[in-house]
Amino acid sequence: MRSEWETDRAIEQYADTVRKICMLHLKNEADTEDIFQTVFLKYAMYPGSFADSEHEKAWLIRVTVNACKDFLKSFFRRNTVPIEEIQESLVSPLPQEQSEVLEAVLSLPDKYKDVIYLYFYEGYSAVEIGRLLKKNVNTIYTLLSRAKAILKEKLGGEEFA
Amino acid sequence: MRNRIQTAFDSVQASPELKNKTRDFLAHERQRRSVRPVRALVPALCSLLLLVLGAVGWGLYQTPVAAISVDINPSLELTVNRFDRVIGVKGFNEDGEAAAAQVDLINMRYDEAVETLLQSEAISPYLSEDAFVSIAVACDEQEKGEAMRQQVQAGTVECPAEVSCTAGNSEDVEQAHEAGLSFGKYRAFEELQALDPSVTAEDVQGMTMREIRDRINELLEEAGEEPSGQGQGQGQGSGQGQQSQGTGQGSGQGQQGQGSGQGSGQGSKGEGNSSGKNQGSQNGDGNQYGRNPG
Repeated sequence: MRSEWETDRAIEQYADTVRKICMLHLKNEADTEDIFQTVFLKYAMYPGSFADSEHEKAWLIRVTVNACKDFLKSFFRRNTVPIEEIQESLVSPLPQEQSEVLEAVLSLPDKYKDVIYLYFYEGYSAVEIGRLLKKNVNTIYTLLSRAKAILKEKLGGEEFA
Repeated sequence: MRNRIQTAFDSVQASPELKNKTRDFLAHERQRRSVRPVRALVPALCSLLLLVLGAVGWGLYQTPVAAISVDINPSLELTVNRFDRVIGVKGFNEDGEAAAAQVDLINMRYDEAVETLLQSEAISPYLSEDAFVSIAVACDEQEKGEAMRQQVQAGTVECPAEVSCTAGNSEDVEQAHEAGLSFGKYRAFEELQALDPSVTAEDVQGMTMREIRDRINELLEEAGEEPSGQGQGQGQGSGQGQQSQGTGQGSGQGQQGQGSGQGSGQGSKGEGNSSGKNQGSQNGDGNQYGRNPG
């Protein structure tokens, strides 16, 4: 088991990332708490070592995505999260614009959400996302372009090209 | 788009409360798991212990500590473990092998096994009144051997044939096996050979115990007419009521050897046989312990 120092550092460093992925899939705080415990326990128990922090981050993203999927598989749950609940769980209330964007992303079909988040927010390339999510690169391109189209329709604006 | 999404996601952060809960959970898990190795080892150690005990027990159970040789014409040997259970039966001639195959004595108490054997269909036909049954107990623990001998003997009271019960040790057994005989028969063979050096183990193999016994008695009787000095000091046969030359004492006193005659010299074993039927036993004992050169 990794040392307390190590897990504390990981929590500090990656909690926000994990939280964002949780938001994409889970509907409430309690479920998010479960995923946090699962993910960081897995991290603490992981016997391997990471080449660098990028490697470590990618590992945590993959574990979180899988944990969320497993979690949703094991319970019959609603996949979309009412934006109100997210609002409630946040430290400060979201401005209108941000709330709209998040709502649009969350309303996407499940398969698009991770891709959009990883591509736009984390800045991974399609190839990297393919590796992370264990999917074909072409599939990622398709998912990306479809997701972009939906978002454009919902949010408008030229920048969604 | 990138910017709008980034800004929107930026506001989604893990609350300090969520982080703390996760930390607490990990601390708890860490504690639980640090205790676990010791606890987890308990069942493993228990099963290991059981396994070792089982193996040791099985080893002890399967280790022979005594052998009982039953010779009539069928010649068999039972191996007995420290728990007094029969763990092996071996025939030393054809009839013996047949009997060993026919009667299941494994895991029986040795005394029951001998009784069962003598009462079995494989053996009982040989037990006519003029038959001679030699039962020899070999055990390196003298006391146990003697106790076993007595126990076996007590179980043969109802046997119609003449029964001789003797005791010996593992060396006797080894020598006997080298000669291809059960050690009860080997002992009789030694006795016979002492009187008639031309006799070989092969000759004896084909003889019934009665035949060997009669031959011994014949030779003893012959020897009885001559003065002592055979140098063999056998002093046997007193139990049969023959004239014994008392050669065992080297006194050359031609006593009426009633078995007790030898006692002065070798009586330490104190093999006093009570049952008239089992007189022969003294032969064996006298033999074993009384081999004084004349």
